[in-house]
Amino acid sequence: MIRKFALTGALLQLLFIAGASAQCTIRLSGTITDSETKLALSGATIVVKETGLSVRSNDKGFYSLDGLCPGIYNIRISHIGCAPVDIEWNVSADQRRNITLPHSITQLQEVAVTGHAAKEVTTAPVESLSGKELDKTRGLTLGEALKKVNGVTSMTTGPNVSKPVINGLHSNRVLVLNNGIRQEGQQWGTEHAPEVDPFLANKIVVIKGASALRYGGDAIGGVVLVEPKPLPVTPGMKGEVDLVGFSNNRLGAVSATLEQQVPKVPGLSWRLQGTLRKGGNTRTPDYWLDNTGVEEYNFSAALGWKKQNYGAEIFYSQFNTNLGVFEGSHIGNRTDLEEVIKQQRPFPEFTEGFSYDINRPYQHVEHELFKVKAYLNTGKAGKLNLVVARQFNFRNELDRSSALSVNQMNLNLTTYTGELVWDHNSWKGLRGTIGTSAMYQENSYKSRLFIPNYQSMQWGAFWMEKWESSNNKWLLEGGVRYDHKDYYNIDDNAKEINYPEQEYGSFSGSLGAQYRLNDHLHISVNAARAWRAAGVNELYASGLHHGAAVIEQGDPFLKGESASKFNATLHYDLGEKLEADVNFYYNYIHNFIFQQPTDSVVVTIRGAFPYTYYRQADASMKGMDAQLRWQFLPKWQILTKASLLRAYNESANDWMIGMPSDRFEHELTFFPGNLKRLKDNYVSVTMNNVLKQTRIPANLKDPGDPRGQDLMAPPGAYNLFGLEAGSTVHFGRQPISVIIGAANVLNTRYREYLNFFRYFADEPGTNIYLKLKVPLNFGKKAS
Amino acid sequence: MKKNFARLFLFAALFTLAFAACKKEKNDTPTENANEEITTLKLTFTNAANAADVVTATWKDLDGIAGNAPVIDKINLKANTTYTVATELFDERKNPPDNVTAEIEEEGDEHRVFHLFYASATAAVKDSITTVATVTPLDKDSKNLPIGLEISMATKAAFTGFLNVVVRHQPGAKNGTYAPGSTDVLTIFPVEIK
Repeated sequence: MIRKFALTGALLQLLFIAGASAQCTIRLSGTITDSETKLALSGATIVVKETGLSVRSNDKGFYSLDGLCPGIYNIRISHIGCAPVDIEWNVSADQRRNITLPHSITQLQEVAVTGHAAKEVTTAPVESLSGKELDKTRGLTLGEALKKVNGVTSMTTGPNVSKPVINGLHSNRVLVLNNGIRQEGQQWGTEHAPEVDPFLANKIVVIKGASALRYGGDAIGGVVLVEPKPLPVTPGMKGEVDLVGFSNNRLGAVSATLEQQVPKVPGLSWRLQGTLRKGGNTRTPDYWLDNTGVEEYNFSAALGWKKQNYGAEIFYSQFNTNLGVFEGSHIGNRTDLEEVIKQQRPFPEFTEGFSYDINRPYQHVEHELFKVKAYLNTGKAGKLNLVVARQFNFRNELDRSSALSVNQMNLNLTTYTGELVWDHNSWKGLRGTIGTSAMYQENSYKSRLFIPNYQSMQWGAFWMEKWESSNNKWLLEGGVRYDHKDYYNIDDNAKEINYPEQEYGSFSGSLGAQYRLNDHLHISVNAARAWRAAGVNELYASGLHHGAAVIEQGDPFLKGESASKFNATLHYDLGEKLEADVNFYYNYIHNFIFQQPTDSVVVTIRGAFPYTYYRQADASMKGMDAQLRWQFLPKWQILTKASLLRAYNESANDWMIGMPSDRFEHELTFFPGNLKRLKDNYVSVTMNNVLKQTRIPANLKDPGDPRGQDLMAPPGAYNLFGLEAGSTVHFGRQPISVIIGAANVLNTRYREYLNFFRYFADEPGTNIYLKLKVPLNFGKKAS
Repeated sequence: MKKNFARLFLFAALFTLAFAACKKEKNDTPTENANEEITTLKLTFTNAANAADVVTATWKDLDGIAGNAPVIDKINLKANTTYTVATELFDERKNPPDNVTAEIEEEGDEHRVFHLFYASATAAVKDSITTVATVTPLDKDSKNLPIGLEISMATKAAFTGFLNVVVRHQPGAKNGTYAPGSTDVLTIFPVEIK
């Protein structure tokens, strides 16, 4: 009967939409062992308190809990002869966690065992930041925070603007999901940072590669999920206050959250959250960078209502920022630019001193998100999820003040998205999702033309399934997706420039397998084909990009780009003691779209500017991300990461421009153990080693030119050192987590190849920071 | 069955709410730029010895940055002659054309106009040739630094090359030299002195 329902249901849902983040078919699994004897414990009972779901571990100690929704669950594990262990588990995706139970004989010892960081179960390379790791990034922008993830670099424009780069790919190729919604800010330039408040996140997940079909077929580079904590399910009011201070630009940030499950109305809960962030000019080792301040104020509100079989959630957020742009970067023309590059430092009038003032040039950006999410249980077969959202993005770019020039650009982008997804529960070991999604977008501009007015419509449908063998050795995953995108109404522009309308459509797909050799070692392979329609800027950009002092010209005849990506991952895990990961990838992108610099110039009244245009070529990207965490002595841990990339333009037989260089990161941490009032203490020293990018495309006129097709040769290699210490201080019952540290301790002077300000100025010098996190509990102690 | 309808209704209601609650987005029809864009730079050379001997030359780009190449006049001057040179800037996309010169004059303490001779069109700033003519600014800003909208140009021997007229924007940093600030206007005229 159920089988019949699942089949007809699946067929029916094919007609429907896709892509929501609320999946209610999550599986938690792992093995249970005895902490003393290290033997597998069979017949242990695992109970999810919230749902009453109860399972027993099999004779190998293996357990699995199926059909969970994202949320925070209290799970109790008990076994005859062992003290029961309670775990609070924040669930957002399939996870595996091995649990060790303390044996009753040693019951006098403190119960402190509960496995370590759970691993998400998928064949794609996934990494996430949560808990302590995420706390360490508090106060940073999303782009900077993501640098903690191996293989993710950031592309920056000065100290305030940074965009994530996953395995060399960025902008339109990296999908950022803010609370489950595709972040459709204006990705029309490298100086457009994602308008996301990282304080909202409880967890940031990075899926490298193209296999995340659920979120869109266009994620050739990968997906970044910014996930807030699920709304509370246990009664009581809770909150948290974060305070962050940075010395270099005297940046202060404060963020507060307040949430409650309304005691009188079961299932009803709410959350309010707000962030303020203000910083002034940044200092490099030798000089200040004038007008590099930042102001940000964000808030969000969520209201949820949850019943046994259905539920709904409303979410609203606003992100507002003013970003100062370093004055010395707004270059009049090519001659000025060459002059600055020759000098190797900005002119003194742009490096005067500290100030919180933000003058022209600056960017003002507002982003508003409104979202409604609802789910409905479809019997025992699965769950139906509906998400509709609207986002509004406003951007005002003010160039350096001048009585004379066209010095302002003003963009409005409105996006509506809708998704309908059906998750079906396990059926012969198969779990899957079927859905469709649609998006409508409208852009209008004022003042300077760079991107025309347009409307676009996008829709897609997908189906993906996951199968796990009953002995838990094999995991197979596969999915297909079709996407269609139109651009229309493009002719409504000043200067009566005409642009052709566009229509794109194609299939994407992904196939992956994971084999678990034993409990410590597993190997995953994943192959995916992803496809992306050309972006609006790539098709229609036309005009002067002031910050970069180049003329950008789109090409309306660009084809969509398609990527074939292969991943092989080896993961070795000995619990707390040792964990090692290595991921090899090969990504072949047919019709890769990029901005080609040229040596021809466009003559304007402001002088001559270099002309760049969008073009296509076949590109290959080979690389490796590896990391090792090893507790080599009882209180000492070393963490080493390496990320290598070779990006080649196959059509031109040359290297690709603007790709991250090889980088290594090492962190040595000492855990002194708990002191009287200080718990979870650590002291660490980090070293970041970034090599010089030597793989750049040659200058066609003079292949011996070290600058290649760039205006300046890539900057040299650099080593940065950082120090950090953290602790949880207890004032009575009130714990406060404290992190104090310093970045670039040696005040090293360096420039980074992926910073567009590398032509003008050095990177920031020493930055000392202090981060406090104060959890709040109101009224009665939460049970 | 009834219950299912109720749920369906709930979804429909939420869906409508989501869209009804949204504020109407701005969808202004694009307007011609509210800001000024300089399209034209005009030079008027008046022979100091003979007011009737006037040479004018314009640098004109009416369709802006992404359009056609600008139209540039060639300047023909006499050797060993002193000219009074007026530099004027216009936005000719406006009707009547908007004269921008006055704004530079008003903000004279932030601007400096340079007239530089070069042998080639792509030479660096420091390669300007000072032996072609003696250029003497005639106007001064509030700090007694030259502006350069009115100059005296005394040509010397015969010369074929280029005259660059550069408007430098130097807020707070103007010191009479070329270096501070950024370039607001850079036009290159072919020039022949004989």
